[in-house]
Amino acid sequence: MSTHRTTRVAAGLLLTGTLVFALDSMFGQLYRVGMVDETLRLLASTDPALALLPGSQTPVLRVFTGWQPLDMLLSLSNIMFANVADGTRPELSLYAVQFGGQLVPIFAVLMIEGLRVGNAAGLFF
Amino acid sequence: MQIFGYGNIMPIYACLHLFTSPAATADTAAIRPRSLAPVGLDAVVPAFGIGYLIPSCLFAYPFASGALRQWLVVLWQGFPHNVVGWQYLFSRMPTGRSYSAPPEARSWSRDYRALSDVYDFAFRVGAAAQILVYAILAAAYLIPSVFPVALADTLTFGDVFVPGHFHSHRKMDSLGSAMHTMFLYDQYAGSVAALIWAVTLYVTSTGKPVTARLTWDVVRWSLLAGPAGALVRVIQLRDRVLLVDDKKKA
Repeated sequence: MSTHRTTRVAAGLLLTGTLVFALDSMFGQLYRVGMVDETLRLLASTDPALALLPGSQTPVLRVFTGWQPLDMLLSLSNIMFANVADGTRPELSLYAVQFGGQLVPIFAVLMIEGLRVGNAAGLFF
Repeated sequence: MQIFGYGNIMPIYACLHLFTSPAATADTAAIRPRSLAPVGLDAVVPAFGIGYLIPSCLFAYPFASGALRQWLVVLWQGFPHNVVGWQYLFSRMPTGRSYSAPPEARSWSRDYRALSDVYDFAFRVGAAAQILVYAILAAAYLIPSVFPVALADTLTFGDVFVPGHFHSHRKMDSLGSAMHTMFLYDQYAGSVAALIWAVTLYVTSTGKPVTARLTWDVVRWSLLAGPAGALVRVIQLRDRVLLVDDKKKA
C-alpha cells in the first residue's frame, strides 16, 4: 500500500511539473509573444473597423448570450480559433484534424470516469 | 476545457482523481459503470456524431458569412455539453437491450464488454484522424504536384507538429502562428499528463509493474492513434485486469 502511495506521490509531482510547463509554454508564451496584448486590444476596441478577427475583415462578434462575462469568453474563443479553419494556415488546419480526432478518446475516457460507481458523489469527475 | 486548455486541465484533473477518487483504487466495485445505458454504443456513437462531429464539420465549412462562422465556433465550444446531453437522451430511449440492471445484478465481464466497446470506438476515431493526417503529409511529401505549390510547402511534419521553443520571448509572426504553437504544447502537455495518470492508475489499482511490453504498447498505440489512443488502451487494460482477469482468478 505504501508503495502505491509513493507511486501516487511521484505521479503527483510529475503532474505538477507538467502543469507548470503547460502554463508557461501555453499562456506564458502567449503573453511573452504579444498575443495577450493583441487580444485585449481587440476585445477592448469599440471601433468595429479595428476589432477584426486575425487575418480577416470580419468584425469580432461581441454578443452571443447577453451575459457579458460569458460573451467575453466566447469572443475570446473566436479570436483564438479564428485561423484554425479559415484557410490562412493549412498546417494549423491539418493539425486541428489530428487534435480534433484526439478529443474523442480524451472525452470518452473522462465521460466514463464520470459514470463509474466510485465517482457518483464526486464533484469533479 | 478548450479555452483553458487540455494541457492545463488534465494535470489538475489527474491529480484530483488520483488522490481523491475511489475509482483510482483497487476497489473493483468502484470502477463499474453505474448504469450500462449511457455507455452503450447506441447512445455513445450518435451522441458523438451529433454533439461533436456535426459541430466540427460546421466549424470547418467555409461559410461566406463571418458572423455565422463565429456562431458555429461558439456551437463547437459547447461540444462537451452537447455530447453529454445527446448521450443522456439516447440512453433514455428504449432499445430492447437489458441496460436497466443495477451493478450488483450484472456480471463483471458484461461491464467490461460495455466499457471496452466505447474504448474501441474512441481508439478507432483517434486512429482514423491520425492516419488521415499521416496520409496527407505523405502525399504532400511524395506527390507534391497534386497540391497547390504554397500548400504542399506548408504541409510538412515539422510545420504541422513541431512547435517553436517553449519559452520564447520573440514577438509572434501572427496570431495564427502563436495559437498553433499554443495548441501544440496544449496537446503535448495534456497527453503527458493523461498518460502519467493512466499508467499510475494501472500500476496502483492492479499492482502490476510497468513492463517493457507496456511501454512499447504505449509507443505503438500513440503512433497509430495518437497519445489519446494510448490513453484509452491503458485504461482499457486496467479495467480488463480488474473486471475480468482478477475475477476469473477469484
